[in-house]
Amino acid sequence: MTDTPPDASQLEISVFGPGTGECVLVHIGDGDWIVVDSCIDRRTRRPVALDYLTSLKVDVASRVKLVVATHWHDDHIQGLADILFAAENAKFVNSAAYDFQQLLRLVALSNRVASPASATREYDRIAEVLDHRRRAGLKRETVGPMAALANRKILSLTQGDRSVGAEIIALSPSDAAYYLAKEELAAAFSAVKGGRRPVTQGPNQLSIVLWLKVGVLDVLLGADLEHTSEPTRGWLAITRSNERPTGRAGFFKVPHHGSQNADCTECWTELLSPDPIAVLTPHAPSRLPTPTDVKRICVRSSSAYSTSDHTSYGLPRRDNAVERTMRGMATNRRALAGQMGHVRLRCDAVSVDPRPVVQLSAGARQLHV
Amino acid sequence: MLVPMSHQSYSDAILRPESPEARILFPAPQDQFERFLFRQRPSEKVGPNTDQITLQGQDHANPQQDALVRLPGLRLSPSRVIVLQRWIGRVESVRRDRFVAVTTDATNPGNPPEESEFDLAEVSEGDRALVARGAVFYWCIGYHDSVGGQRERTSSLRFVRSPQLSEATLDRILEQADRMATFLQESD
Repeated sequence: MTDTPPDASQLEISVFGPGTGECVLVHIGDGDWIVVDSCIDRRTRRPVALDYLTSLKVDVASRVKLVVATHWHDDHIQGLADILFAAENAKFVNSAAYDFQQLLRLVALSNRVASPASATREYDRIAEVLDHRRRAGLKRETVGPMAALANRKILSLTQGDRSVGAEIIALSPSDAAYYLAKEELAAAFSAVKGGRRPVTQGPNQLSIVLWLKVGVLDVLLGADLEHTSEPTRGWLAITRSNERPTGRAGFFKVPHHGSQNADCTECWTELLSPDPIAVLTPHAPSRLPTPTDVKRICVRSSSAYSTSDHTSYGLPRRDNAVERTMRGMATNRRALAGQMGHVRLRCDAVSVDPRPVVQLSAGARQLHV
Repeated sequence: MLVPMSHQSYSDAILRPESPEARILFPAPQDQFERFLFRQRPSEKVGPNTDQITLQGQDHANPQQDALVRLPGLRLSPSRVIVLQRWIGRVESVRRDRFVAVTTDATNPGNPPEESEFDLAEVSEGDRALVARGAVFYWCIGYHDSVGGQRERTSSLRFVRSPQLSEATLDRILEQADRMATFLQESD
């Protein structure tokens, strides 16, 4: 894969995932980028987004316009504070479902009683960066936190001097998800107070799904939003909304690692063009996607890709004494991550014939039945 | 002049640390000549980490050759733990007698996280009540060198205990968080 930056008129969607973690970078034309979620490259110990943008010689400080935390789970947020710190002109976007005050309460308590390396630690650093910028005199409208809610436009770059217009609209969370978030934060607060790390409670209906209009192209980034039969929440709240943007997306970041409970038929029929390019990141801890998930996705897209194969990760080699002791202590061991896989799509955003080119690296693969 | 140490004297030295016999067995650093108790067999090698005990009246010119039995290194071989590998773990699920956890390698952060199953019996009794979904523990594998110089391979799982915060401290933490949230969310 070349380290040449995309042309000004090109859309680029780069999806990264090593098996546990997800990061999506989008070039929205004219050298501007957005970052959606983050994960760390274990080799460099840096956010993969910063490594990649640096390799393309992108000026992160001025060219990254948005840093979005679709939700606050560990596998989507690690390294996001570093990205926000480097992206001096970016606005931080957070799910409106999470009351920011409650979130910061959770973070503050977690720092005092819980163990390190959780998502709350990352949010603490994000708050630090925002605090620093506000104290330097920057306005909230410039730095965030901006609350993303269904059908709220969160970025619009359509000035005359641009070669490509870009608009970004949040499609979720819905209003109805607010109460779920309150419950989730209360449960997390209780866990942290007891010295434990917060764990996922139920289906994710709180994360930010994004609709991107870049030039003539539409893109749907599904985050981890799951499907429910309740029409006011999850994917049905989007597909049945009268206020959502019109059009059909030709690129789909498949939600929640391709799981069955994030699959909504109406999403494929109402929001996506026939046979879209679909990309997912696997989630090794929950063994997603399953072979059944892969089969289902391949029926809907002949151009489906995964950033990594979660069934193929090898255990690291360690000192013999350590290995012998480990074998006596722990059974059914398996590695939960491999290389940082990368699926990159580039296409012309102003032409009626965009000619998409998909490139794969470091363990990324096309999905087959 | 001290008499050769009898079995009784040796016991006294162990049982009564302040006794003169104890000074022979556990000499101050400058009492190097008093550290050989028995004549050494010619074939026996003396390691650099070994203290020896001697008696007055023996040939002090070459004390290492005079020692018959090398006693464990009391000053040069303190009890110590050599850590070979550390992890931070999080409990994902608990069954009746086992639990599943995700561990992240704290020694080599470049290694991938791993999922493993542990027997609850490996957790010390005092920690078992802490084993719950989301609980965090430290797992450490290494060597334990005892005072006697014996080496054992060890593995320890220690669960994190949260500090008990007073209501006043908790209120103060939450107030600070509220102030931060208000400041960050203020529109200009």
